[in-house]
Amino acid sequence: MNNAMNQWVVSHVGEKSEVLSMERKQRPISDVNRGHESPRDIGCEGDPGIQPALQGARFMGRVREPSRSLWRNVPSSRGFPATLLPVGRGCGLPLPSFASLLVLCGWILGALDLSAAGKKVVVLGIDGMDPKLLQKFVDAGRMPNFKALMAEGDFRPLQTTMPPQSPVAWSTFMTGMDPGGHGIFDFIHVDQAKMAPYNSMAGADPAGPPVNLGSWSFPTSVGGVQLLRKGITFWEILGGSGLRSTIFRMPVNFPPVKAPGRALAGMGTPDLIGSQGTFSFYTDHRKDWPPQVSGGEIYEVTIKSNRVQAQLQGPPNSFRRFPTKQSLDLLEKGRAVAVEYESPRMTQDFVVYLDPKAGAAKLVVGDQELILREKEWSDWVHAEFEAIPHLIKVSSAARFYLKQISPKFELYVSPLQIDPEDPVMPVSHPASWSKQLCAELGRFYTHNIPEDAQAFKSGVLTAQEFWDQMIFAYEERSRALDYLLTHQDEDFLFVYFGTVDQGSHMLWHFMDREHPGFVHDDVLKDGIAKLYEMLDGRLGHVREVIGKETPLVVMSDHGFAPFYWEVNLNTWLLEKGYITLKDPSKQESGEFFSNVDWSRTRAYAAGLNGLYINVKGREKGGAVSNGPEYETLLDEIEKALLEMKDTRNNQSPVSLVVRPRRDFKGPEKDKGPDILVGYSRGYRCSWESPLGSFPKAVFVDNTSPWSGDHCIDYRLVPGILVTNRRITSQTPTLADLTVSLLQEYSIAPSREMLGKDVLEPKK
Amino acid sequence: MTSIISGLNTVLTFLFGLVYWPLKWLGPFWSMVALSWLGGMFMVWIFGKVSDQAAIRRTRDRLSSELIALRLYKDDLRIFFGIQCQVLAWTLRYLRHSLGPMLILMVPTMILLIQLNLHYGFRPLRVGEQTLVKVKLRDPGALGRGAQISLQAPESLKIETQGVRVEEMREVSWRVRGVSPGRFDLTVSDGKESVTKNVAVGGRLEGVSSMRTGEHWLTSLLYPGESPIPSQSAIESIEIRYPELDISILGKSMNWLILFLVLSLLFGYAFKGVLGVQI
Repeated sequence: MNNAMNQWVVSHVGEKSEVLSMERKQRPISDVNRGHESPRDIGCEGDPGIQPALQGARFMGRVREPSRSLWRNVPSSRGFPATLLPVGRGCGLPLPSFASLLVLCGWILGALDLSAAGKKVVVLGIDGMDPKLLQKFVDAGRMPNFKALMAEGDFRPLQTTMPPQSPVAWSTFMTGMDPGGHGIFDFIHVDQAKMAPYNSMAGADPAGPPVNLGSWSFPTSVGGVQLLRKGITFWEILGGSGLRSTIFRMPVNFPPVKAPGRALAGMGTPDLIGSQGTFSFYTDHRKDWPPQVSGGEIYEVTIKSNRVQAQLQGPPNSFRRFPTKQSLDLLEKGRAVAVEYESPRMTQDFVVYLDPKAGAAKLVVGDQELILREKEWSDWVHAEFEAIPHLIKVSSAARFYLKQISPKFELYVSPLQIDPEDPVMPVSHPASWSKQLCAELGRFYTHNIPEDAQAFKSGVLTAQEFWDQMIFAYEERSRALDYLLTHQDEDFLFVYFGTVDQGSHMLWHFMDREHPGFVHDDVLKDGIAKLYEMLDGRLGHVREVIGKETPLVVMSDHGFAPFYWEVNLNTWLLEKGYITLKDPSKQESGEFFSNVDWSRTRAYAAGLNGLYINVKGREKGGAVSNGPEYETLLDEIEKALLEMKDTRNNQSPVSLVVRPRRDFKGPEKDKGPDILVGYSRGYRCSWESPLGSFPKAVFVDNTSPWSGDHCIDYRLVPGILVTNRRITSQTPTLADLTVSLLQEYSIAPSREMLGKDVLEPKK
Repeated sequence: MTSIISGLNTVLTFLFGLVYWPLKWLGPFWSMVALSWLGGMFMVWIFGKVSDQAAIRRTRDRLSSELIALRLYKDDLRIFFGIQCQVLAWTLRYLRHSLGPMLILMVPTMILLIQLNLHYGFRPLRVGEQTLVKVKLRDPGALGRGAQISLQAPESLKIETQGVRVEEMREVSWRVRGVSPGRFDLTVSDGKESVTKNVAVGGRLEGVSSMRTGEHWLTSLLYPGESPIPSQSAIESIEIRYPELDISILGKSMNWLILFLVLSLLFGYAFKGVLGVQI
């Protein structure tokens, strides 16, 4: 549990320095999100043709649907419609020829329609691109393509969400709603009935009850995965108007929503074992490493005659079951217990033949053989895990990095990917698209966040090794962008890049001398700037391919700030008396609040910005009554948070408190934390606090390589909006952008959307 | 024996190459369809030549009549079981007439499959693509005694690593990468002698020899693409791990062997009447 939670926490938290001149005055988020004219005021009411599934989304003015008069229930799009229902039956013509004629006419009209409207919009989503850094690099002449785009159109900081975490911000971008609407408040949510953390983005539907035959187990129905984000995405609304989209690696879209066009899942997609990315590390010096590392597993291997035999550890084999060791121990002691079973993990053997003299090794994985030199990465290696011999196999892919042959043997293996060529879980829509991409581009990372920041943070990869791995992932995206641009026959294209975000998290301490973890490195001190430059190159290519007439939007979900100091929020709550421990002498031990006396605990912190009241009837051991007691406690904690002082430097670590039930809109607002804590610049929630731990000190210097972050006061980390259109608002928001994209196609937003159109139509 | 097989390989490879030459422009799938048609016809024709067609016809006629009798006497158990025995007997007789020709047919079929494997088993390395060159030594202790095995390649093929020596497998492997298209010779040397191995980079679909083997009749038969390595050489074989050729049908990859067997059987069955052969 702790490990899984760790992976979540470590997957996404960090930031950058000099903040642009934003309004610093505290402003309730409710004002921000309510500040726009109501969607009801936009467009016309009662337009026809609204898809039942998209109720609330309304068409405005001119709607390009000429073939609708010919076809019922058929969106006009290129290619032949899937369901053809000719309207005027019984006209005397033989049905096949009449139908054929109609099909032909519909197709021709559809094609004419496209050539007439021909509206395409391209959006580049660059996770974590910061407006101030962007301006700095533009001013330094390092980003000529961004400069040109700004000159052609406009550039503004893009107001992000509270909390400014990627899953939250991207969910707002795609639905136009705040967390109260889409239900994503953090990377981690808490199941209050069990007091257990869970992935906020996707969950598993269990398989049917199994039929057990000895050690074999056969489920009666297949399980599945479920997207936990609520709300309708803008590309579903586009699809309702017959427009097709290509959505490439949009976060919080696993499994991808089914809408006309194509989509590949992004952040939130698990690796093969169901985690958010678990690397493996094989070494003959296991004792040099801690028992557990965040985001990975370390395995001991032995070298015999220059040969290492090891196994890739796949997912549990749900077709097999064996009694747990605990059950067996109890049975051996003669205790009558109900035997508990567990599924063993599937494995794939591999062998490494070492040749220290050559400084290289030969790896044999299944029927594949490859040679790696020391400090060299492999390309994708296919791995198969056998669930039922000769019948059911699970396909995967991984990359190997031969870190060292001697004097120590060290081999890193990337998280096992869901193989896009033969996906065991739905990573794309349609399901065949990942296979098609694989045929065109080769295998690629499919899991959550490809850049393995955890391996760097835990010391398994050095900064340079992390950089190389990150660039490999970037180049995969880059090739995909090229492919999509040249094979783009859809009406809307979105392509996501995560490299700037992960690079800003992990390389900040190389460029910031004030950082407690500052490291001098002549190359990496310029790392973040180089990542920005690479994206500038990509933008130049995109502009070249699509031309000036195509609406182009480059946006990011949030910016960045430095992460100097960690705040142990649970320790602060403990010191203030909101939390009581069962055994105060064991304050620093125990996993996920295991030492907490819930009957005498009134509030606790979980997730990166979340603070919960221990409410009776909601929490497992609730102690606070709903109503006045709850409200009074919230007021008290809000005041205390804003008065919090770091006595080491006399700074206020918290600059904003948001209360979702008060400040958000939508049916999900009661399901998140009771308070969202907005940290001041330089501060962020500690690593231990989200895991329910209680380190001694409230404030600690952050010396981890994870040195930049954005999970703070949202006003301090806006994203960017650069486009070849004029931006009509000085303070555009993510929700505004959603509405603006719909308006590009003259489609009105849904009633739940909070934004307004901020892009001036092209003259 | 090996030299006979080697000579035979040369002739057969030349002949197959002649048949294949006009087809290679069709691409893997359609050339395989054409070859399956030719192969199916060829096998049926041989079957017709080496089998007792009159006996097979008689046996099949008799079997047919017994099957009709089965339906007629299905209400009379005693007769019904008697006919069942007759059906079994005639089936065995049919198998006796077919088995011999089938065994004879295996020889040309094997030769055909070996030639097909040469052309459809693997594809040339693409420019920029990497693979392994594996050299196997005869002497199990040679690497332990410090045998120096080297690999030389033309500029069109880049050797990316030093040779990785795996003593327990008597093997040295290199990673190579295709730089420019063409057909070249790699040279493997142990300091005393040199052995060459052909390598293909890029270009159209053509036969690629994945392995040059030693002078053993079976390996010579299975790898006809190149002449065997002399038996007195310290090198037993040189292998290039070419990627498998991908034959796609409606987006699904299919193994060439399954495709050939299915198509040639269908074509053979469909055209047996044209050739006047009873199967």
